[in-house]
Amino acid sequence: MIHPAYLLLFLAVLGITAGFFLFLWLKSRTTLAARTAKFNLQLSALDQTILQAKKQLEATFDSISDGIAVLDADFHITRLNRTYADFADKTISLALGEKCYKILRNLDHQCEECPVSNMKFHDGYSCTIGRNKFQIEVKPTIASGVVHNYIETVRDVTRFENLHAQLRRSERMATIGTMVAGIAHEMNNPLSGISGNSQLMLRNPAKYGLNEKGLSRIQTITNSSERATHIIKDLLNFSNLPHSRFQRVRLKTLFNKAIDVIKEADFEDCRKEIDLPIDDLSVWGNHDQLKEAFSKIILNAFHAIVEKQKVNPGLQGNITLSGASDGNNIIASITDNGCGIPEENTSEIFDPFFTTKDPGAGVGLGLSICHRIMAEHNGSIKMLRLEEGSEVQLIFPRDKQQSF
Amino acid sequence: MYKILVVDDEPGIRSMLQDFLETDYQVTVCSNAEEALNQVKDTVFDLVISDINMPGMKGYVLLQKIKSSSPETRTVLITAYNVDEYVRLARSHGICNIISKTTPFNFDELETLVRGLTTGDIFGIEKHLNAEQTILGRYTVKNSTEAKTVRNQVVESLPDIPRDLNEVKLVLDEIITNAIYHASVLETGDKKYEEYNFINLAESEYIQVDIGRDEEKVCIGIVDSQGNLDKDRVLYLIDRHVHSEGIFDESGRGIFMSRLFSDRIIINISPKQKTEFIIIFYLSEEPFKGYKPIYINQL
Repeated sequence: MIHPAYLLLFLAVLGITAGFFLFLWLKSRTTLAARTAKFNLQLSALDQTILQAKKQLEATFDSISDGIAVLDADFHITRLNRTYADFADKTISLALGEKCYKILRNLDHQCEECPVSNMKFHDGYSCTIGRNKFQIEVKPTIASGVVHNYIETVRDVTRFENLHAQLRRSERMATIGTMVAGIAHEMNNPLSGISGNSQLMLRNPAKYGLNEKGLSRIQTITNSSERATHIIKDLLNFSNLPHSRFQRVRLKTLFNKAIDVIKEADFEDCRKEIDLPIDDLSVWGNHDQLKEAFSKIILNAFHAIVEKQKVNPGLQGNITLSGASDGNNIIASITDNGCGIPEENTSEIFDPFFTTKDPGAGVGLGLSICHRIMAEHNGSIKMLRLEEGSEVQLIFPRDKQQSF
Repeated sequence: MYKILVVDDEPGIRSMLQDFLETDYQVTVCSNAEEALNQVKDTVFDLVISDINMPGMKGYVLLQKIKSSSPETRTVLITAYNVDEYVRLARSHGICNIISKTTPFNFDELETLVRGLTTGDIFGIEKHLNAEQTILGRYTVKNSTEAKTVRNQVVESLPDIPRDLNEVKLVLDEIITNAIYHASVLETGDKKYEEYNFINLAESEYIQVDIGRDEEKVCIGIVDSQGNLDKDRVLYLIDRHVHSEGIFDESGRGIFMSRLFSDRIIINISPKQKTEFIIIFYLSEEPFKGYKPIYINQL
């Protein structure tokens, strides 16, 4: 017979034990829940970080000014950045899955220059898309001897090429300038003799035994030497501009004074108009140089009109000065309704000695002198083709303008 | 008849100068400096006109040699190159006239220069104007207020010229101011009058301003009664400004600017007697293409 006291003790021990295990069980249950919750929290934070990193990478990828695309072995685009999409003129989602040569250059076959065909991956190649020039490079990614992907980078080199061309041109101009100055100087001496002697013969024909015919020939010599002097003066101007004294110059005054200088036949028949936003729109510059530039541009405009009138005799010639002024620049435009410039000549018009005029009609220094004059003014000159005729813009940067 | 020697390696220029000058002068021509030195052994010339850039001896060396053996001979350089670049050499070789070979050649100017150098009769704007001349005004200035009035009268009587009127005014102001304030010097060599102050010139002092024109040009003469300017000083000042060294010089700016903003400046000096500035503006734009000459005649 068990003593009831033992039984009581046993039950108490059992109760305590059960309670203890119950306590343990309950405790472990809450810890697990907490841990899971914590774990989930960490996971989602990690997710956020990864997402953020992904976004950052994408943004970096997109902000690179080179177009980058990942291609599969068949030239399908599997990834691309925004620049690449922009070059292809597509959205990223539309470009995905397309073939690179199709969307970039609208070809139905692999580019001829593509390095994949001859496996010379260290060379890039250049191509023209629309009006821009591009440099393209393709590199393979290889795993266990098999090409998995190609990475294609496309760089827009238009600006660089233009700067390079400009640099080459200035170098060329500098060389020509030095040479020309030397020649022009040497020409002054004999020319002065030619002109001086013929002047004396005209003054006193009897002394030189000149008859009517001789006299008229001497007049021709005088005129020719005068023309030669003008050319020499242009050459010297081109290589050595007159002193730079800057002042406030009204565009309207320049236009009118430049017109006065031109003495060509029929120039009067041409209509000249001034259409300025403010009547006394002015720039800060060298009056003589700018007048020279204006008169050269107006003369070119007139010649373009004469040219056009050969095919269209009824044409009323129009030369207009207009102006614009914004936060950055003051722009003077001279527009004509003449024959315009053929596209193939647009890159050459500012080159010294480039001329479309007949031999003897001009040496082709006009626009390159204008180019130099504008450079002297920290500005630039632009030639635009219009539907009818052309427009020359003289651009004066505002920060180089004295306030007035 | 005055004797003139012309030295130039360019046959066209030689014959041209000979043809033009032989009506009034006895002219000898040479094509280089060595020939010229042979000529001056036997003959004393009144005037030698020499090209600068010749093979062998240069013109300025030749003229200096001639001058040292025959001090009475007047010497003039002639060049088709930029006259300004030769100012320093001319000065160091004692030459103060450089003719510029322009196109067309400026025969009238040559005639005036040659006549002035041979006869010594250099003063007066009439000599620079041709036969069909009109005198537009003659003014005498005795004080600084009158100077201003006269300047305005001269500007008002100007015919139409292709020049910025402000530049013309500047030229006149500079030369007249020089004449009134700087021409007179004390025996110590110091300035007698203070610039910008009202001044009355002394009894014996005066400034004469004349203006005249012909169909080609307008001519303004400004004479002071002192004759203190020196040819060497003028060349020195021009040269400093040509080389941009003279920006902070106390004087000389006026002469340089006047040369820049006018077509011709001729300076005639009779030491201790009078100084004359002749300023010429052409009525058309650059009728004689080429560089500006330098003419300073000191008796």
